[in-house]
Amino acid sequence: MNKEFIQPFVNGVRNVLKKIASVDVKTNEESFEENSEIKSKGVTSIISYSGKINGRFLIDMNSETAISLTRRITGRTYDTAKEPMVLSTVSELNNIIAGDGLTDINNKFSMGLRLVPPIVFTGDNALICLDKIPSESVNINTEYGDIRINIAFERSPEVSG
Amino acid sequence: MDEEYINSFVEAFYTILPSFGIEELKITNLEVKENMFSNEEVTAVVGLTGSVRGNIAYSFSEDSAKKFASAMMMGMLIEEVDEDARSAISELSNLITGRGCKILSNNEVFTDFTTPTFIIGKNIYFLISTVKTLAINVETTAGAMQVNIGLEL
Repeated sequence: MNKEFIQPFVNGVRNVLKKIASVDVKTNEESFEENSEIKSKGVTSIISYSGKINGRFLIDMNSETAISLTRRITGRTYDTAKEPMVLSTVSELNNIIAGDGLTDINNKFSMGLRLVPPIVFTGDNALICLDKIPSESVNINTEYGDIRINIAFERSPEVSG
Repeated sequence: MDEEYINSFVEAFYTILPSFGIEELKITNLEVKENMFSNEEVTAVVGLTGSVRGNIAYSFSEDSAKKFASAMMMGMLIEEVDEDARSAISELSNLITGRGCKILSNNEVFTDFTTPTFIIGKNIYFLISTVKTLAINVETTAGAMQVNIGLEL
């Protein structure tokens, strides 16, 4: 996959976490190809987009990271990741990050991509499958734990300039 | 949520499912919820963009997922929910969503939809809409299917 379609999302995570939660992120920015089955760390939010090509972006973290980030943002404490505020926060973070990333891609490559509202879930050993569509992940470290982002496009986008 | 949107997708079940030999459709439950809890093992989520934005999640137990996939594959025996079975269910959710969108377009509501993403596992709490989610349970000859519709209107 063209790296120019991955970088906007990495920048999105960095900017949004800094702005909303004052959290600094560390990443080597290296992306690696994923299998068609991705094992959820605990809390996962998925956002799909359609336009010239279809695809989806996901953000995945363990329950403790989701709870800590939500506490950091809302200033309240939570017992489990099943609490609606924790799920909504992860979902909204994903919405803003994906919005940021896609705006960048749309501006650069005129892709006309439009976001679907995010879904978010938490559960025991959930598997996420997007068969036959290549996807790449980037690991991101924060002081609250690791976050994985994964970017998928139905076919490699042609850069139209 | 507007009745017109729900009816379009309900009409789509009644058109698409019988064409694969899945008959005797019965809506056993219909409720509006704040979020979605799925005890079913297999969920396919399709996103909608355009005049209506949102997600539709189709959930099946492992057993009914195999039966629905088998019906889609001309009665072939399905032993596990593998890539082939997921592909069959993916196609089914595409067809139902596509038909629902087609019916909506007759009323000047134009939408586009995305490739289904599968989520497999038990005891999963979902939030598929920031507003409300409508849950429809459908009983069929191939088992039960739970459809959760979360549209932002």
